[in-house]
Amino acid sequence: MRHDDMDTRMADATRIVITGMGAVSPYGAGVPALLGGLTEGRSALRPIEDFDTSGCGCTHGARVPQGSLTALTGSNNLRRAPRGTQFSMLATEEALQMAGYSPSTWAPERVSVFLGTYRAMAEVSQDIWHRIITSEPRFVQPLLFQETVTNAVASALSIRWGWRGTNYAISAGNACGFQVLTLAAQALRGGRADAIIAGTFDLFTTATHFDMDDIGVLSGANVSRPFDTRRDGFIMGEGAAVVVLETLAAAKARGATVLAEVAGLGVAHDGHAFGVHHREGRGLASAMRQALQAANVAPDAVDYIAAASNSTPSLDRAEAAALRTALGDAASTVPLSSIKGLLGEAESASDMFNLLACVGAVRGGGLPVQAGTEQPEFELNLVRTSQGHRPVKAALAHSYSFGGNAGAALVRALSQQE
Amino acid sequence: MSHRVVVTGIGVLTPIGNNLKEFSDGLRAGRDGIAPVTHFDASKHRCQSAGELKNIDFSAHFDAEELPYLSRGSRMIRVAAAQGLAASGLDLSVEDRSRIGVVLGTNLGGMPADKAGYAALHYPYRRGRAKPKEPWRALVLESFICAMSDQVACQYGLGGLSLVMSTACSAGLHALGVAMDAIRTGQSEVMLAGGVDPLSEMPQAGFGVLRSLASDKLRPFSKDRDGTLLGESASLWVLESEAHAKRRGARILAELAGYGGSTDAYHMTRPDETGRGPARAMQAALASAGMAPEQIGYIKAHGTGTPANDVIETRAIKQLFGEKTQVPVSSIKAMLGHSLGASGATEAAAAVVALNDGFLPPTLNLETPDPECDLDYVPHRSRPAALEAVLTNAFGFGGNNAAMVFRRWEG
Repeated sequence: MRHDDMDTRMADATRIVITGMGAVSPYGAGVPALLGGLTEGRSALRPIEDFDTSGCGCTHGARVPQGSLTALTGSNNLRRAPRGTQFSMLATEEALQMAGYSPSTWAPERVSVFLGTYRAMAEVSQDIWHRIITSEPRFVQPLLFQETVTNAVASALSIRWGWRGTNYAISAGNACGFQVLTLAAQALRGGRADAIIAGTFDLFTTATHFDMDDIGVLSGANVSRPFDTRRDGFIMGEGAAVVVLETLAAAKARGATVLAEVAGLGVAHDGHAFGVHHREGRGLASAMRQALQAANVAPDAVDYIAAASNSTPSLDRAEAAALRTALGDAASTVPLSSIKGLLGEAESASDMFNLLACVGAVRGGGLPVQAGTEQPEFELNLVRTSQGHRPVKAALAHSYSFGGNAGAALVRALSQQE
Repeated sequence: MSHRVVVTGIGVLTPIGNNLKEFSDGLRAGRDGIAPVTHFDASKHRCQSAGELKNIDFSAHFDAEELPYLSRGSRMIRVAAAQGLAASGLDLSVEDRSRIGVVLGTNLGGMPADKAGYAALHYPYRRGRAKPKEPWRALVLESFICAMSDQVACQYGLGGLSLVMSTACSAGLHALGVAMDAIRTGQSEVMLAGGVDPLSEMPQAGFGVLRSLASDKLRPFSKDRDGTLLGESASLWVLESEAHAKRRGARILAELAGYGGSTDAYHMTRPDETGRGPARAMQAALASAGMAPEQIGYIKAHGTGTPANDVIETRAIKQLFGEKTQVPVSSIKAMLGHSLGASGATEAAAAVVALNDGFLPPTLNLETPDPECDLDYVPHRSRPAALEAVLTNAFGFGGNNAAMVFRRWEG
């Protein structure tokens, strides 16, 4: 074997690629629905109808339409499964199909599931507490209690497909998608798995909506307008998204279609104050810089940024500052949008939606439109209208949490030669 | 390129000791930390005892202004963190804190202990729609699990990888493993890791209805074992690359030599009876350490005291160590109770104690031998032992398994 072939093979074993993706979003099931809605600039924000919001300042949300889950196949128990499990399983089905998965694709011991979430199984533990508060501990529902553990979703996936690699369930604020990808990249590069199903899920419930409304972080105007001078809070969203990750070497070896490369990752924490992010977005700037450095991409070579801002006064300002710190002058020229203008703040699910938006962009699918924003406060090149055919080689997705967690990923298309 | 990972400090809060020295003394003495529950009214629960922390006065550790803003989980992990960092002698003011991260195992995080606590925090139970103010806001944010790692990152100004691992009862061990990986791969030179779970009425009720809790005592590996008991604990470890620890002249407690995991892919709550899942996790940990089973002098078992776990864990150990293995195995849960997401890391601290302080912690309440559990479980009393390497297990709901190997440090 020639030396450069050997070098390429060794490099391929450390490059992380996406070979499948799936999503359940307020647009319904499927990545096409998600990317279509985002690039058309179609808002999924609606008045909340399935619970009474009277007394709340914010009465809007972006719910996953329950009817969109009819595509669910698999085990009969699934319809009784918690929504987080339903969403994640449906997204995984789609991702596997795209990855060309069959039961013999990988040895079961070599497949891991890594999932991230902010609110974990809050929707389930609320029901358990409700029994304890309104009834007696002995009337707690055992089959429901077992679903309270954060790894219930990852376990359900591993049981369904028989995967026996190590499973992780993590939380790092509503910015844990890139933490998940970072752990997955380490496991793949370290040879501890051949494929990792990596994803995030988050849901909003009556209780979380009311609690967040009372904390005062939701929009009283019922408008999500990231970076706008009049922004006054976020609107809650929900969903799940999953990608199939492999090394480039493994993907090539099995003849898989590579959708995009995760060329650089960064994770950081503000380390500032509990529940309050850093004014200048210190952690986010660090995460973006790490991702660019790891991918060896200069700021002005970034063609699109999927931003984290959710229409809250302080978070958006901190993101604008972090963009300036990490990208310099390119911060005002790189096309950028926050999908939360369309989908609301789906917490950790937003991270993976951002990643998928970048994958869509580098595959020529167009850029998500910045909706809601009419009076931009910052000097940013917001994607104001649908831009179907803009060439995108490198796209940066990131996320940033009130708690100070931050993450970023540089997504790149593979060239024909690769 | 792989960096060796060493342990340079451990802080612990457990039902049998509120620092590593007390914990070691308690383990050696076989102290029973189980007592009637005081954190909530347990009279309506199937099981009324648990391993609660004792003799800990949080007001001695926090300002009066800050204390009301902190959940019990945060108080526990913050105290453990202060201890662990002090023990390590790490001077954060001269370290590059932007690269130091924190990874903690937890199931409950800042979850309130009782229903009144929960009802005070969350809609629709809290009274009135007058916008509640602090400390309510802080405590709602605390009720999410990642608050635990956020608290530590913010307290010490840490800018590296920060997250909680929440894989049921194996979480604490996975947290140490993720931190180990971050150092091995060169992402960080120093990581804080560990676990925390406070005792709460929610799992006490849930494990109760699942019939997983013992009727009186937790009896690991005993024929009459009939369940586990819950507990609470926290631990915070300072992990460093060997080079970093040596450069600053740190006292090294042990080498974190290897870590591995696996999934049963079998059932949500029942473990796979063959034991192959736990066996694969132990095998992966040994492989990661580059060691053979013969080199392990002691196994700190998961040993929950449930009928299924203890026989399956025994089976798994035999698969790897041989049917006639003489390796001593013990479960310390009869002393501590099961602190869920924290237990993996807290009990790993017991494995390091065994290695350094030269004894095998005992399995209490093992009165009636079980023909299917026929290993040397170090019953009743601790035993002196000169150990070179130890293995510690943690298995969780959803068939989530983890194992870790520590090696004596000859420095």
